[in-house]
Amino acid sequence: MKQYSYFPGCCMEGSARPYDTSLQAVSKALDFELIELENWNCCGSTPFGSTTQLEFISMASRNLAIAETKGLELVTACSDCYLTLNQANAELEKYPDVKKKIGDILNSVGLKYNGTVKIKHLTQVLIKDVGLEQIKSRVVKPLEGLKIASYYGCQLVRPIAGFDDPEFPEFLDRLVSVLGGETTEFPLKARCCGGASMIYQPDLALDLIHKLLESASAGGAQLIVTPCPLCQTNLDGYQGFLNRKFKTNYNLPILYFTQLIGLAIGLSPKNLGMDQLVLSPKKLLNQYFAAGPQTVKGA
Amino acid sequence: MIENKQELIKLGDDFLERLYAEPGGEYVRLCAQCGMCVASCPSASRVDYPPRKLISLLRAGRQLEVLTSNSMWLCLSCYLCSERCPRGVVFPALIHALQRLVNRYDLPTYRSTAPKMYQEFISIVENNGRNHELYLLLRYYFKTNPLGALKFMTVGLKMLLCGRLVLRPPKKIKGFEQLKLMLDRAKAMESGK
Repeated sequence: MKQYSYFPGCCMEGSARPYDTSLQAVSKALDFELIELENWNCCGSTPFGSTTQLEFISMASRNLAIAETKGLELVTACSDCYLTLNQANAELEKYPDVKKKIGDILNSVGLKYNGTVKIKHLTQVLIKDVGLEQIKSRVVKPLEGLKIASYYGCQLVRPIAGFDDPEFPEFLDRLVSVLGGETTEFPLKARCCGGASMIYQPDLALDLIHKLLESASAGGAQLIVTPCPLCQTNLDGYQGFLNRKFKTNYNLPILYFTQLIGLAIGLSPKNLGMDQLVLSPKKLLNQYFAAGPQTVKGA
Repeated sequence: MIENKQELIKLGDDFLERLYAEPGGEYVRLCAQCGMCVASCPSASRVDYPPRKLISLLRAGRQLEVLTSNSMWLCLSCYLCSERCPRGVVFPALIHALQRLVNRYDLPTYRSTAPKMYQEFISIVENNGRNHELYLLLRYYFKTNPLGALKFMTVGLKMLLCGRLVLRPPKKIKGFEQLKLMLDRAKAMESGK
């Protein structure tokens, strides 16, 4: 069984609990092991970017130093943690004097980091390492007839280039197809949801998620799937608020991509944290919630 | 925008040189002023100065206007501008460099409450090792707009009922002292700059 070090990130202990629940269930079912990095600390995230470069990189470096002793790839499912940890690696390489100073800082507490940790996002693990073919072979309840918009957010596809187009990525759409669902047109699929500005500039963030919901609906989507915990919280948690503010009536359940995989490979909604979504997908996915036959037709 | 003499003096004549030396500051030199960033920016309609103009003002020596504007805090780090920039300017990195200077020179940030959110986030993480979302929200709203929080009460309640807002207070991670020592050392090294 392939093993990875797992960096949950702070939101997995709160707003993204159903994400954590579902990714744990899916990893077990698809035979890979996520070993939580012991005593991990916050990756630093955007706020620490405003402190000093050394503080910002110190946050990530402690995690990376601990991860290096394990000798495994470091996996996170949070787009922001993915970006921040990768950024620390990149800056350590770009600025040799910073690397030396961080080395001294780590050394002073008995840690050491050589810069060898490879950071992966969980989507890469599932789509590349496990592979779409393998996932396909495990599908027992295809998402037939379900129209699904794949929402990527920004920080997973930009700026760390790598596994797909930064503006019109397709890997999630391919996953949806493999799971038996119908992909929909969603031109804004890699546009920003506003992120944490929902707290300090809600008018801006609400406008952005309004555009996203408009675009996804116009494409005929019945639900949106995303690999980003912050995008999920904004779209799921604030959709009702947005409907009241803009006098709209969107009702698009927002699923974590691991929940979608879990449903299709026959895991129970309960084990996927489906009851922790603000907008319940129960009506749309009633066949999955009722114990029933192995093959199910979608809504 | 304000033109405070004292603050201008604080920034000094060699401001641009110091900005170029800050990681991310080097991008001011690269910009070709094409405006692709403005067309790509999700915050463009709400900022005092969209990216192209912000860089242009910096070059023109109007740094105080830039540093005290809301443009400093409304970059959402979506990286669409940097993805499309023909000159390779990583605008979010430039914004971080500028934010560090705002903090270093203790400049006013009244045009946005984002720095308050950042401060609360940093304080929670520096005291526990990890963020705690409910505490962050409570502390932020308490310090900025306690009544404004009421508006979002229903959102919070729903998240709470779904078990996605943790009530139990933040707990220090094991190894917290180690992280604290690292951050103290990083601060000391930076102030010795």
